[in-house]
Parts: sequence; structure tokens; C-alpha cells
Amino acid sequence: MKIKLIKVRSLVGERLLFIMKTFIFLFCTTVFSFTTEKSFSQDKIKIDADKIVTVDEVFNIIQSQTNFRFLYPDNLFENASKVQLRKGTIEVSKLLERSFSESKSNVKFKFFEKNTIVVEEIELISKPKTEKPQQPIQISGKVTDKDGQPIPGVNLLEKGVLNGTQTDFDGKFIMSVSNKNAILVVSYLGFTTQEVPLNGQTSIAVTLIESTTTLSEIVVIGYGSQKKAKISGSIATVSISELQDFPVSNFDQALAGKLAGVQILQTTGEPGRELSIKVRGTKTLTAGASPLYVIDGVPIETGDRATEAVNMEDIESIQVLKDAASAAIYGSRGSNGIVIITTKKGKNGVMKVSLDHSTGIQNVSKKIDMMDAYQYAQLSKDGHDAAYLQEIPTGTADDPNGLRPVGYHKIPEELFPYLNGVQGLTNTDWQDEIFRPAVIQRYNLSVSGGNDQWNYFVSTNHSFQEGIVIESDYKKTGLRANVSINSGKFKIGVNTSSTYTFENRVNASGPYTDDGIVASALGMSPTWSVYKPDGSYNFDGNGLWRIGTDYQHNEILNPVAVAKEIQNEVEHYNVLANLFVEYEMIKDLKLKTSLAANYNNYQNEYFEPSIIEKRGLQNYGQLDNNNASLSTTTIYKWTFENTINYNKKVGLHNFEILGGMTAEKSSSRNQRITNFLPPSIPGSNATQIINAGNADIDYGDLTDPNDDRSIISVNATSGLDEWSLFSLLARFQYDYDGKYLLSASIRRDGSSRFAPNSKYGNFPSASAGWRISQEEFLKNKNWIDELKIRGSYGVTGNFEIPNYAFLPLLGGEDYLGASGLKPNNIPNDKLSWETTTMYNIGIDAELFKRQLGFSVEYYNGDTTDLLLNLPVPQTTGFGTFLQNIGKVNNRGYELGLKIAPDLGQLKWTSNFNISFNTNEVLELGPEGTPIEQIVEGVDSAFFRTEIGQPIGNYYLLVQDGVFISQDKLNKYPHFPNTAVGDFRFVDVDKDGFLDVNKDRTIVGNYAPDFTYGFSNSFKYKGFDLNIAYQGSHGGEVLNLLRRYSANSEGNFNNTTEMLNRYQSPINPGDGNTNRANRKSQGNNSRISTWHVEDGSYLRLQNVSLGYSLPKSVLEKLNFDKIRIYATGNNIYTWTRFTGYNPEVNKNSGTQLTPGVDYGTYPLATTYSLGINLSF
Amino acid sequence: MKTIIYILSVVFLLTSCSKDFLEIDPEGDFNAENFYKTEGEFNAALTGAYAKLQGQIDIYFELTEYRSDYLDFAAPTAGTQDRFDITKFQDNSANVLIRDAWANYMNGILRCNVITDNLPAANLSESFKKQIEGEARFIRALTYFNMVRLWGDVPIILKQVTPQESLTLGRSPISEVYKVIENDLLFAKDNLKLTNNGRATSGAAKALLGKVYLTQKKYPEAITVLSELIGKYSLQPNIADVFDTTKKQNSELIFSIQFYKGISTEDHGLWLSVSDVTTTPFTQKLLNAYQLAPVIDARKAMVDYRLGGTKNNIFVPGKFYDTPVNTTNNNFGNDYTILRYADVLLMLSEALNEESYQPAGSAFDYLNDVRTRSKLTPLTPTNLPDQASFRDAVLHERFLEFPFEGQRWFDLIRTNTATKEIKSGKGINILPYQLLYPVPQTEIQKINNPSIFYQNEGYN
Repeated sequence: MKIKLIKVRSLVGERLLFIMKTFIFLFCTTVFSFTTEKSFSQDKIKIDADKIVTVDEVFNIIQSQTNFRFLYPDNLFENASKVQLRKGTIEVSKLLERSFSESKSNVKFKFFEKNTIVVEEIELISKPKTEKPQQPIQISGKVTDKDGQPIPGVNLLEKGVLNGTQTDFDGKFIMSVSNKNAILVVSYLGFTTQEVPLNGQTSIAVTLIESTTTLSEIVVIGYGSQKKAKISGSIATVSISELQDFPVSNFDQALAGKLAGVQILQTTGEPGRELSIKVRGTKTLTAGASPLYVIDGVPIETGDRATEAVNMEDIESIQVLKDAASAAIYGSRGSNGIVIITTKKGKNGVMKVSLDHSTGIQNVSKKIDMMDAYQYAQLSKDGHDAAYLQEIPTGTADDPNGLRPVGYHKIPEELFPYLNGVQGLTNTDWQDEIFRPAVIQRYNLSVSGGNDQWNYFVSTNHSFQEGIVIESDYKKTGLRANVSINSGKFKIGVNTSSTYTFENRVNASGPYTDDGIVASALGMSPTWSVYKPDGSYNFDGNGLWRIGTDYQHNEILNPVAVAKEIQNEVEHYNVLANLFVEYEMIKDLKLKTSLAANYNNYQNEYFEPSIIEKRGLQNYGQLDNNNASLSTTTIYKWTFENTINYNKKVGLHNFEILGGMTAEKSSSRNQRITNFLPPSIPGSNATQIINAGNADIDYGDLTDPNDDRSIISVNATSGLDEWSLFSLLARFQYDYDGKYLLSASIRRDGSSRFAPNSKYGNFPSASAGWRISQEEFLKNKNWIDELKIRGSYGVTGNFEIPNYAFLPLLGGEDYLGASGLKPNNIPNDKLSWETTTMYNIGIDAELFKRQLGFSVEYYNGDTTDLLLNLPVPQTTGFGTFLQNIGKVNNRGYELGLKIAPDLGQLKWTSNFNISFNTNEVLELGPEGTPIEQIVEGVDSAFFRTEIGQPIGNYYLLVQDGVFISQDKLNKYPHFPNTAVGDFRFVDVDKDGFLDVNKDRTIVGNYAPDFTYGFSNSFKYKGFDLNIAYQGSHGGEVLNLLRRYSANSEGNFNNTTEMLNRYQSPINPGDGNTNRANRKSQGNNSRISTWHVEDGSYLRLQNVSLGYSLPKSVLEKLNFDKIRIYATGNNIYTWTRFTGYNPEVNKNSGTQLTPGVDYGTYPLATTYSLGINLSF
Repeated sequence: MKTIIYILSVVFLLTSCSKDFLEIDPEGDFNAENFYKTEGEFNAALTGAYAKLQGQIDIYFELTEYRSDYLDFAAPTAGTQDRFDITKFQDNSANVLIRDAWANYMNGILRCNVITDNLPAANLSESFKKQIEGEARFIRALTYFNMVRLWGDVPIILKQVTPQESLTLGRSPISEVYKVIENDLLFAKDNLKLTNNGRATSGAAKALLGKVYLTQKKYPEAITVLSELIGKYSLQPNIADVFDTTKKQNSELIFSIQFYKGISTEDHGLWLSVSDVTTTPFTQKLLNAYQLAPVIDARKAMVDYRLGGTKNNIFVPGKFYDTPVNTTNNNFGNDYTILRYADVLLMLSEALNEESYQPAGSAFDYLNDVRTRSKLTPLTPTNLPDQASFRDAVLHERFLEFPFEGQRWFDLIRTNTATKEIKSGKGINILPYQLLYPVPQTEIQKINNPSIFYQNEGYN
């Protein structure tokens, strides 16, 4: 053995030279956590009995009790004498000292900064040289991770020889080996140890693969972090690798199906819209239902502000706190779950540059089969005929219009050529006119690096997404800088992101009555052309068939004109900045102060030129005003946090104590100006119109109606909304030997939103876990790698209640231009948060060398003090009174399954998750009166929330086929005016009579019985393949669009489903579809189960195939990584739902009336090509 | 250790500051807790009370005009089932229009009550207080008068009540409700100005009080108070002038709910307009009622549809025909008359006749004033030889004079002629209980105490 010259780099950057024969490094796993173990020499080791052991066994004991790992050649202590241990506890340093002195006195060790032990074998001068020293061979190389990022500090040992080194900042190393065929053992914490045969090479590149073990994975838990193994609550995590390759503008879309118990709903395909995220069911009736987002420690209450503030490629990790115990540290904002997003930080090493780009093409994922012009003409004729024969029974269907007395008996003249089969007539597919193939492009550039003093991660991103509905698009540009500085006991960091988005919106959602483009396109007669021969828009759909003879075809605006001519631009600036200072006051005691600001500014410019008619026959062919509005909303929120954190390890007892105070305040201001100018004054944008109206306001003589000046058109409104929150929080975490886990926390929140008599609330939690796999009796079962049972209990709140709801507020109401004020509500001096109390139990296991893992959880939580607009006698002046009353239960199971068989070169990982949630209303006000609501002004579209049922049920008549003969009609209860061919409804109360109110019943609910996700990843050499599915089962959708598109009246275009309609006794159709009749009777048009559809679906969410260039090529090109990929998103959906998107939820802001489709922006199917580069 | 103490003290300091930190005034809204102090604030509150009346126009249409023998329609369309049920006397206690009317009136009463509750403590001049109180009480009286005629017994709410209190408040007998109405109107009559551009006046209070007395068959009191109005107002020479939007606040109008088409929130939506004159909701009884020869009753034109709207593409009854001024918006600004001089004359005529039939009395004069204005020949004791025939003539005159003005259904109830007239107008046999509406079922459920808050007989 020879003395070797070895370079060792301490973490303070000083270069130290040691002369030694060999070395041992001791690593504390927390090197990679946010709190490094400063000194472990005082850590105690417990010896359970007197025994005599080898030095290797001593190291094993230390390893098992402290999480320190020893890496040393097998034979270092081969010849060393054994060590005698006595029962009791002993400090690590003493134990090592004793071991060495007893066994191998020529070995000395020193503790260095940051968990490094250097062990020196002192040259024994007297030792005779027995071998001729071999000529060492100098080799060099580089160690990187799979992304090509260099890894500093990697241990390299020559196998079988006491010889090694570490990589430097750039991941590079130089070492001497004993022979050209030596084998290097390359190891680094968190990565799988590799043995690399040199095979004569003197320069090698080693790629370390992250170890699949999740034991050391750090989970951010709110005001701190914890090892995943020690978590006893319920926290879902998404790994970053699962977020790549999604051609979406915001990250939330990539989460769908990935998290058990977290329902991610894309209710609209409109570019840029945030998704609706629901954690473990609906826990509120009227308050907010969105989770709280925490981005790098900064709480953000609103989904769009959170999702836009973070670019997908900048995300380091996403965690969702699901159970009340985990979320309780966020107190009155915890009930809907917490989504914690951590962004990337620079890593030690040379500057690393990453560049990502993808370009994709999007197409509408589905078109609805609508009738063509000829089919529609026949439907329309049948409808008018039926209306005529119904009122004039002596007539026949062949009677000419002249014989038919009323407009709606007659058939529009324009339809005759179609009915006569003339070919080549206008046959517009309105869906084709409003949808288009659309481009999506994403660019991302990041630069990161750092050293022991500071690290940085700066990035910029840009994405451009055209919408699949014409004229809609979304552009986003973001910048991020995360910088932190270490200086002695201080750590100072800044995380900032600024995002700018620009959207061209179109009015795609909503019914035709609101000029919703999609609903208008579906309802519009295909006999109309988009443009007139002179190139102008064709507005005949807006009343040609009602002027003169009123055929009663409903007026619909040309959706192409609405999309193209109305400008609706939204700009959003979002700045999120966070500065923190951490000070290690004494060992293990850290103080942290953080100040964060989130500034959001929304600018909306809306301009509707005069050529867009007002909908309605009285406006047909008339220019409208030029309508304009400009609005600005500014939301500024600051957060001030002070926390104190103390970590202590006493023997095998680990403690962590957190205390803190936080203050937050948010203010939201908005201004809106509207104006219109008559069509005689042309304008081309909103500002012109506003300014023209503003130039010289002359109200004229208000009492003289002939005074034109008296038209007041400039209208301005403004608003200011503020809230504040002050909190104290504390958490205690304890574990014994990583085996028995305990955690408890409490938060006290005071909020401006709560009434004086209930200003403060306390939110406690406790959880415990037992890692059975750490017990002796299981340790030898080598097929069990991890087995943990855990349970938790906690209390959280929902403070998403209106800002000033407890106060008696006055609202404005004018009378003849005089400003009036009126009481707006009944004040409630006890108004407060909603409270969720939930317990959670779970089992986590990893088996067979972590090739199989599963996790099962059960939770059960009651939400009480539900905020409810409780009916009160009108003698109060109001019909309802906002109170904390009512109770709802959510309970369910979540199962996660992971399969990662070890197939050598082929890396295969599959994750499956499934979540069942049961939602049940337990109390509703003092009397338990059900809440019945109608939606969208459709007076028969009832929702009902009642005790014993989930929230927000459809409460409707039950349609059960059509009567196909008079005989059948006579035998079955029916409405007085029901005729053959009309719907048969179920006599729900079985009283022999149909009653539109008494025969309604609960017929469905939007909430699914279960949701599931299935994602698979395969890697083979340079190739990677990801396939992800997600699905939902058992929910229903109230498809109100069917009021028009499946009404069989002939006044709207209908789906081809209506070709199966009842036509005659010999042609009864499919027995379920009603006859055509413009004056539909028998309550066919009343909302019933005819409009309710199964919303279950399975979606092939994402498939991506990538290829990474091999290292050999990369080295020549000087790149760390070059990967190209192709990906498809939202590829196919298996569903029986006839609309565009079964996830649709028009009123996603309210819980009492969910699941309505009344026109929606369809989802896109996207195929993209992309490239990831880094160097 | 020092640092810890320092930090803890900072935390406690911040904690103690948190009280102020958590008190945020709603800067964007007015807070009633520190409102109702200045004249301007009371004026704003009063404006809010008037504004409520604008929405009550719908109630006059839905609950009185469609109920009456003026309007009828064959079959409900989407959204008109409740109206149809009322029209056809098939309504029940779940009828949304009835429920909304109740809620609307009760909210209107609250708006008056916040004024009367807060006025006494306000440091303002007595004359101002009396004026404000008088107007608020006039609006409250008008509201209660409508309620008592629609539902009979109603809860008497003269101050703001909490949700807890409201559960104990039952329906009061009709007689007590009338006492409250009379008190309010007597106060208004004595304290309001004679004229007040479209707002409540002492004249309006007198006219309404007269109607209240008449409805209670307190004929002498009615005659006294109504007589005070004779000569203070005058009939317009042409009936069309009464409703002409260029002649707002004309000498015939005593109280009307006002609209203004120049401001988008102050206009209204084309009462009874139709797109197709073949589908008007008018009964044949109404269409056939007007004398066409030898001269045409001028009031016929008030009922007939004319092409209207600024683009002349909708049909509007003459009474609500608004001269187009705004070239782009189809908004209308007709006021809705509540009390006008013709009504006073006919009420007085009715009251006098009920006191005693006088062949040479002024009852004939008042009746004929209204008739002759619309080109009809005066009626004489020859035509109307006795009290009964005179009574019928006054009622018929009212039928001709007040279509769509929210009078007819109440006239039928007051004169106990609803059964007969509905039968002749719509062919429906109504039952006595249907002279009152059902109390909204939701209210009965909320109070859940049938001994104090009961349903009207005949409904369930």
C-alpha cells in the first residue's frame, strides 16, 4: 500500500490536501435537505446489549441508528481485531475512536465541516515493504445525472483497492488506479451505486441513475419539509418526470389523473383557463371550493394567479396536502386541500443551460354529429306540420302555407328547395366554420448553477397557443429568478417570477341566447351561409324567419361574425416575489423571516362593432351601437412570515419544533368604463369609443325625452375589496429512530372576513405513523422494503367567504338618475369560517426490492358550519340569511399502485391510482329544508341538495321512452296534452297522474363514484415512452344544450340522434326519441332525464415518445443532453356523453348546481414535436 | 436567549396589533352601521325605496292584469307556466310569481322601515324629517295596500326585524293592516308637500287614502278625502296625453312610477309588446268593449296595438307607445300610473252612489267627466235609474278607462263582482277562495307555525 496524493474538497470550498492511504466518507442524508446536519459527532448510538463485533458491524450499527452511510472498501478492516461494546449509549465520535483504537490503532479520523470524516491510516515506518509498488495509471472522467447535469462530490473507489476520490464542481475527477482493467465503484447519495469496469480506458463518463428509493425523498409540508418516510399524514406528490412533454400552457393540465384523491377537471378548452382542482370531494355549498396554492412558501388563494405564476419547466416538485392534519398548518384555508409548488433552485456546479422547445398542432377533439341542411329541412317541415295538425286537426301535412293560419304552422319558403331534393344548395357545417387547426408553441430557457456561497436559477419562457375556436389565442411570457446566498449563519434568498399573458377571448361558452359561439353554431340552420354573396356576414339566422311571417325559428347570431368581429382582449401581469432571510442563531435553531408580494393586474378591452346585431327579430338587419368597455383589476397581496425552527436529535429521538406568526393582506381594486356610440360614428377599438363618449358629457335636459343629449352612455364603476389574515402557528414533530412517528400542529387564524364575535379560530391536528419495516422482526424479510401504517386527525377551515358579509351593507339602486341606496343583506355578527374535521388512515408499502409499491388510504371528514344562505321569512326584508349552519360528510378510499419491475436495461414504471369519494349532506339549516335551485333561467332545470344525498343533484322528471301507440298512451299515466310520439315520463309518486312537480326525483349528480389514472413509463437505452390515461366513472352531466340540439321542434338544428325520432306508427323510430313538433306538447321540452347524460369517461391523456442522444455523441457535441420527442395529448376519450367534454361544468364556481353543459369551449387534441437541450 | 425574548416580544406586539389589522372597512360599499345621518343619506335611502316600485310594475301585470278579465292566453310557453296558472286560476302556493311578489313587497317595506327606524335619532330639521318620513310611509302604505288586497291577512312589519324575530311574526287580520295603512297615509297627507315632481305628495296620500276607505266601504271618509282633490288636478283633454312620454307629470297624474329611457337601468321592457298581432293576450271582452259608433271611444286606441319600437318592428299597445327618440335602443320610458285624476273622479262617483243614489248628484258629473273626455255621450238618470245600474256603470267605466293600470282585479274584488266578470271574460268559474292568492308555501315552511302563519283557505 502506498501513500496517495488525493484531492479532497470540503464544502466550504477550501482545497485541502491530505496524505493518507485511504479514506472513509461519512454522509448524512440530510446533506440534501434544507437543513444540513452541522455536526453529528455528538449523536448518540444505543447499544442494546454487551457484545463483541467487527468494525464493519460497528458501522452497520451507526448506519442503522443515524441514517449515516459508510462507504468503504470491503477489506479495509479485514484484519482488524474485534471491538467490544457495552450496553448503553455512546456518542458517534467516541464509538469510532474506541473502535479504531481497539482494532486498528494506525487509523485516525477527523471530523470536518459538513459531515465529512476523513480517516487516515498512519504510515507505519517500521512496516516492512513486502510488495513492489505497482505503477499507478492516471484516469479522468466525468459523472453526470441522467439529464447530463454534473454531480459534484461523487465518491469513486477502485474496487478491491483502498483508493478513491471525489468529483469536483464540474462533476470531473482525476484519479490513479492500480491497473488498466480496474473497476470503479461510483456512488452518490440518492443514486444507485454503479460498478464501472475501465476496460483499458483512461477517460470515462459515468451517468448515475437516481435510485428508485423514495425514502430519502423530501416532501414539502408547509413551513418546512420532511422526509417522505416520516410522513404520517396524507400527501400526494407528483414527480417532475411526469410533468414533462405536455403541450399545454399551464402546468395544471399535466396533473390530471396523476394524484389519487385529487380531481383535476378541465371544464373548458379555452386556452389559458385554469383547471378546477378538487381535493377529496365537495366540502362546501356556497363558499370557495378551490385549494390553497403555496408557491415557494407564498400562499395564493386563486387558481389562475397560481398556475400562471409558475412555468411548468421551472417546477421542482408539486405536493398536495390532502388530509386535514397535513393541511391544518394552513388553518382556515386548509379545508379544500393545499397545493404546494416548489420551483427549481440552482445546484452547485458549472453553469448549466437548458433549452426546451415544442411545436404542436391542435384540433378539436370531437365534433357533434349534427343534421345537414336536407335533414334539417325535413325536421323543420315535420315540426311545423305537427304544430299545424295539432291546432287544425282537419288539415293535412300536404296543405300549402296559404291554408295554414298561424306563422308557426307554415314552412319557411327557403326550405322548399331542400325538401324537393334540389342538390347543391347551401349546406353549411357551422362547426367547421368555428373550429380550426391551431398551433401551440412553447419555448423555455433556463440557466442555473452555483457554489457554496450562492446559487441561481434564472429562466424565461414563452408560449403561444392558438385556440381551436377561431380568433382565440393565448400568449404567455415569463421570467423567473431564484437566487440564494449563504453567508456564515445567514441564508438570504429571493424568488421572483413575473408573467405576462395576453389573451384574445371569444365568447365560446354559454347558450345561443348569450351569443355563445359553440351553441350558436350547433343551433344555426345549415341552410344559411356564413357570408352573403357580397362578402358581408349573413345575419339571416337572426330573424329572417320571424319577420313578416313568424315561423318562430329562434334568432341566432352568426357565430363566425361574433368570433371575428368582437374584440375581447385580456392582459394579465402577475408578479410574485419573495425575499427571505434565514439566520441560524444557535446550532439547530433557525429563524426565518420572509416577505412576499403578489401583484396582479388585469386589463380587459372589449369592443363590439356596430355590425354585430343585437340578437332578436326586432334587431334583424339593423346595425347596433358600437359597444365598448375597458376594465382594470389590480390585486395586491403581501405576506409577512416569521418562523422559528429547532431541530434536535437526542440519541434515537428526533425532534423538530416550529413556531411562527404570519400576516397577510390582500386588496383588490377594479374600475370599469363602458360606453357606446351610435353606428353612425364608426370606431375601431374600445378606447376610441370610450374617449368619444367622454369628450364632452352633456346630459342635456333629463326631463325632455326629445333631447338627444340626455342619453347617458358613459358608465363607470369601481370597487375595492380587502381582507387580512393574522396567524400564529406551531408544530411539533417527533420520531424515534425513524420508526415511530408523531406530529402535531396548531394554527390560530384571525381574519377580517370573520365577524367580531368569531374573529379567531383554532385549527389543531395530530398524526402518527409506525414504520413496521424498520422493526427487527421485519428487517430480515428482505421482500419487504417499506411498510408503514399511519393515521391522522385534524381540523381545517374554509375562509373563502365573502369579504364583508357579516356587515350590514348598502347597495346602490337608482331612481330616475338619483342615486339610491338600499339594505343589501341581513348582517350576521357570528359569521365565520367553515370547519372540516377529518381523520385519515393509510398503509404504504414497498415490496420486492421496491419493484411493487402500494398505498391505501381511508378518510372520513365532516365539514360543519357550512356557510349557507338559509331561508328566512321575508318579513326580514330578505329571503335568505347567510349563516354558518349545515354539515356535509366526505369519505372515501384512495388506492395507489406502483409497479417497477427490474428488467435491466428496460426501465418500466407504471402507476395506477383510483379514488372513491362519497359525499353526503348531513344537516341543512335548522329544519333540514332541501335547497332547490334552478339554473340558467331554465325554469324546469332543478337542482336539489337534501339531507342524505350528495350536494347538487339533478331533480327532474324521468323520461322513459316515447309513446309509440295510442293504446300504450292510454294505459300509462301521461300529461293531458301528451300525444303519440311524445315522451313517456315515469309516474314517480305512483299516484296515477303525472305532475310536473310531484313526479320529479333525484336523477343524477355530477360527482363521479370514482376517478382513476394510469400512467406508464418505459425507458430503453435512449428511448423513453410515456402513456397516461385518466378516467372518471359514475357522474352525470346536465346537458342543457339538448334543449335546442335535441328538441325535435325544427326551430334549431338538431343532432343526428333526432333522425331516430318517432315519425308514424309504422316508423316509430328508436322508441326513445320524440316526434317533431314545433309546438311541442306533453312536456317534451321540460328538463328531464332526456337532458341528463352519463359523464363517465376514460381518456388517453398523453402519449409521448422521446429519444435521447447517447453520451458518446453528446460529448463530441459538448452537450449534456439532447432529447427529441413526439407527444400527443388528449388523444381519445371513450364516453357515452354526446357533448364535447364530459368534464364540462358551466357553473364551476358554485357547488349547488354543478355539471351543466350549456355550450362549452371543446377540448383540443394536440400532437407536438419537441426538443430538450442542455449543456 | 436574548434573541428569543426579542422575537417573542415582536410576536406578541404583532399579536396585539392584530385587532386593528383585522378590522377592514368595506371601502367599496356603504356600511349601514354608520349611515343614515345626513339629509343626503336619507334622501338616498328614500330613493332606494322609490326604486323598488319600478320592479313592482311586474307584479301589477302578473298578479292583477293577467288575473283579470283583460288578459288571457291559450297555452303556456317556456317560462310562462306560472303566469298561465295565474291567468287560468290554477295557481298554487308554489307559484314563483306569487312568491316573488311577496318577497318584493316585503323588501320594499324594509326599505321604508330603515328610514322610519333611523329618522328619530338623526340630528336633522323636523321639517326634513317629516317630509322623508311622509314619503317613506306613503310607499309603505301603498305596498301594504297591495298586499292586503292580494293576500288578506299579512304580517305587519313597521321596523327592521332580525331573523330570530321574524320566526315569531305571524299574519295580522285585514282590519289591523288597514289601520296601519290609514295611519301611514294620514301622516303622509298631513306632512307632505302638495306637489313634488313625481314623488309622493299630500295629494297622492289623499287619493290613496280615498281608495283605502272605498275598499273598506268607509264611504263618508272616502268622499271627504277624495273631495279635497277636486279642482287640484284636471283631466287631460285627450286620454292619450295622459300616457304621452312627452307629457310626463301632466296635470292628471297624481302618482306614477317613473321610468326614463335615457338611462339604461331606468327604462323598461315594452309591456305587453308582441311580435305578431295575431298572438296578443287580450280577451275578446276587452277588445269588444269599446264603443265604435257613432263615435269611437278614444280609449280604444290605448288598447290597440301599434307598430312600435324604434325600428317599427314590434307591436305595442297604444297606452305604452313611446315616441321613438333613441335611434338605436329599443328602450321605453313610459311611466306607470298608480293614481290619476280620472280614478279619483270615478272613486268619488262610486262612493257617492254607495252612500245614496242621487239622480242629480255630482256622482253623475264625475262619471261623465271621464266619459266625455273619451268622446262618449254623458249618462243620465234615464240610463242609470238606480243605485245598482249606476254601480255597474262606474265599474264598466273603470273597465274601459284603466286597462293595464293595475286597477281591474282590485276593482272586481272591491265590488264583489269578480266571479261574474271573470266568467264573462274568460269563461272560468272561479271559487270564492280565489279572490285571495295563496301565501307562498316557502314562507309557511320557513315560519312553520300554522297558528300564526297560516295558508289562505282553499289553498294548501
